[in-house]
Amino acid sequence: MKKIRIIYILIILILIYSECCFAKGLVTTILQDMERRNELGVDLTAKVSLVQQRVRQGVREIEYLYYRKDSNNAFLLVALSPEREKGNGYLRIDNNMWMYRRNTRTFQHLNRSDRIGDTEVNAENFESRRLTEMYKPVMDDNENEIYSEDSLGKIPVYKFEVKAFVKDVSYPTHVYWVRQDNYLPLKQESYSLSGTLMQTSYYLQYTNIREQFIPIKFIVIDNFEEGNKTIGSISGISLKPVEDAIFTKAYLENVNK
Amino acid sequence: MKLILLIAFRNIFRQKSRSILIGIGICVSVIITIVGHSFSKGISLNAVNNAVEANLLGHFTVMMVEKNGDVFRNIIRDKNEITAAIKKHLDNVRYVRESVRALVFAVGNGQGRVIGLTGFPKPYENMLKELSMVEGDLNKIASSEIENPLILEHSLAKSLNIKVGDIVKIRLNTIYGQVQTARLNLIAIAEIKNPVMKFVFQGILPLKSLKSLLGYQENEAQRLNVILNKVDNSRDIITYADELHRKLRPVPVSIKGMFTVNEYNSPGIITGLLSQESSQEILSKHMNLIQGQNVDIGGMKGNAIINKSLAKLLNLTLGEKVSFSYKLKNFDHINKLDFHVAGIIDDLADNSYVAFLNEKEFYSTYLENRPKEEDNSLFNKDSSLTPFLSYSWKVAERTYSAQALGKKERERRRNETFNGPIIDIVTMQEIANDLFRMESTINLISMIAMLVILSITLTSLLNAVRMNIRERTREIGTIRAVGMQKRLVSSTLLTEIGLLSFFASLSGIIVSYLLMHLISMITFTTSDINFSIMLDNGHLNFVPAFNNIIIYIVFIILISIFAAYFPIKKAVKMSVSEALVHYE
Repeated sequence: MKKIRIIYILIILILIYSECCFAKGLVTTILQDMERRNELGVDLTAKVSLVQQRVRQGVREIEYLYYRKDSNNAFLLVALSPEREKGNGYLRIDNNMWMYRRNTRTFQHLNRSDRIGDTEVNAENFESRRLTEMYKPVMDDNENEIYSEDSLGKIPVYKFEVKAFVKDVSYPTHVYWVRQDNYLPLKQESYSLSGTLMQTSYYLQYTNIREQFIPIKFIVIDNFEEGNKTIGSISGISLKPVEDAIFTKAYLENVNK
Repeated sequence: MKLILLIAFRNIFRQKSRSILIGIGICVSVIITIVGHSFSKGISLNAVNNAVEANLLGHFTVMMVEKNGDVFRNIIRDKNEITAAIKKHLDNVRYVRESVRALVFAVGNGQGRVIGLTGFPKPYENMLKELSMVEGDLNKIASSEIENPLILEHSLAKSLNIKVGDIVKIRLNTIYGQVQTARLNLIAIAEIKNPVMKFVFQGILPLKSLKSLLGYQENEAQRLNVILNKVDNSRDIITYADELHRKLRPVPVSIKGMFTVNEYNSPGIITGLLSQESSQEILSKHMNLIQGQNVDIGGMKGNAIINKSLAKLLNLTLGEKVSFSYKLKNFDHINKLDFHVAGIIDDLADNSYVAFLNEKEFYSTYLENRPKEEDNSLFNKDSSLTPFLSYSWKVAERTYSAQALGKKERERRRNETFNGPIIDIVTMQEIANDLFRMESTINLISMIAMLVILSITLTSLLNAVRMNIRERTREIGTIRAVGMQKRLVSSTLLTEIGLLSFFASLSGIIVSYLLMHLISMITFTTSDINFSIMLDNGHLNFVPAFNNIIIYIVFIILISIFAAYFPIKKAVKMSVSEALVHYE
């Protein structure tokens, strides 16, 4: 009788453990929620400040004006400061992205993996590509999504790993820590193809505008070349419609004239 | 004629010192011309061959570019197929060599910087000959026990603050855009002997290692360098590249496999429809769409158009899901592809079972997973549909300068709509533009120097010939007085000058060859890039061109005859009495 009781307890424990760690669909739900948030559905204008700290190079700050229009799959970043960067910009329209240099008045075609202003932030961070079209949760042998419960500071989070099933992404693996109450990501680790931790992002603060959570303060730490990090902050967010004419090369050329 | 030759010879030997002086003048002119021209040609061939022999470049390079979203990547999916095509179309190919290069961010001991890595194929002997070891063991590059063995250029090793045995961490992007990292084992620090190579060589890895890091499979290549058998003139490279460009015509591509719906199977083919053309135009003019409305070929995602027979056989209607499986060419594996029926068209002439994907989806499947079998019966040259079906590649326009090549690549990034591979042939003149610009400058300088010396020599020669004839006015008067005709006198003197020039030129050829041989025996050691381009393995390189030598010699003989012609004409025209009292 005692043995049977022990077996029952073991079965219950295993079931609880499985429910906790292999619940089917939770990670997919979280990913879908994250990409729903990323799809604003409205136009966005904001001021983006990137404070970059590099080994042996000190600290520098770049400010950009950021326009985004999901309906055209377009965004524009125009540098406001420092003076030597002013007028430079990045324009993305659908599959094409260009970097504009005011001094030479030239546009250079870029890839989404290219870095913005030589910071740890790349163009991929500003685009509205669907997360579930690129990544899927890591599964166990029984095709259950793997996740665990953890805490970041005092905040309870779900920790899970996603792997890219397409090749054209910068990082083939990400590990996320998302809040259990509203699925907002708080921490993200990005790994290279060979499994090296390349960067860690912390989303420190979100703002809620029209039921949309937008990260307004984040830190990206370079784990490859240690000592490099970029602190980003977004302010002056507006969801008013942005004219199509802004997402043109001509606008970028003339904006600082 | 015999008399003229006899008198001309006798005159040459009669006035030995005069003949020797003029002969020396002609001889020096010939030497300057031959040595100068051979030196200039040697520089050209050094520029061409040094870079090629040192594994830097091919005489020309064959590349294939694929577009995927906003990413363009250089990838030859089947290097053996392209190598075979190159060898089939050109008869002067010595060998085709794979080449791979990448820019990476390297971190040493607390220091990081961007460096260029070059992947070297086996055997490594040619490459090792160009390196001079500073520290470590160059031969360890061939060791299979060391993972990612790296040879680094001396100044870079210093700037990364690393020594032999240290690990260098690198970060790079794969050809698909993913971030990749690796740890490289520094096995040697080397100086590059040939300064020309410093343009490209910074770090050297075995080809296999670098390819793997960049995401290339064994049968894939970044580029193929074509090395020709013998290149006497750098322009020959362009001729061969143009010839290959003409002959590398694309061929139709398709996938032969099995359609499956529930328990029904049918063999058939899948091919792509070019989506640059208006979909409705293709559908209305070249296909008879019997089911499905407003099919947008370019916008089809996960959908396909099938023919009536296939729909009937598998009992398919619009929107139904079909599986298509086929064997892979390079792996023992069956690939599966699912699509939904977006439209049904009337049967084509050959009644085969066929499904059409849009170009983007077709190439995505076809290139990543090459089929073992293809069936190109659909590609009937008489069919109006044929031009809209998918082909193996598009051939990029040839360019002839680095500027034009850059412009072509920029245009491609901006405006290219083709989703399949684009094959491009680029000569070393376009890639190593700086090398050839330097070669042209050195050629121009040496040519100007040669012309200046030659013009001074020729002016002296002209003067000597003219003086010679004028001094002999009295002699001309004497032979005219004994009855020799004006024409005979002129012919005799011109033949004399001609013969003198001819023999002096022959001597000039012999002396120039001896001189070039002697100079080329001297060994120079230099690290100066401008001087090194003149050297071939530390020796000055002279490449005489026989045709040009003949032309120059004929030119010099004609100039000598021309210089003598007018004084002779003037002297012969004088009356005998006037000529006899003429005094210079």
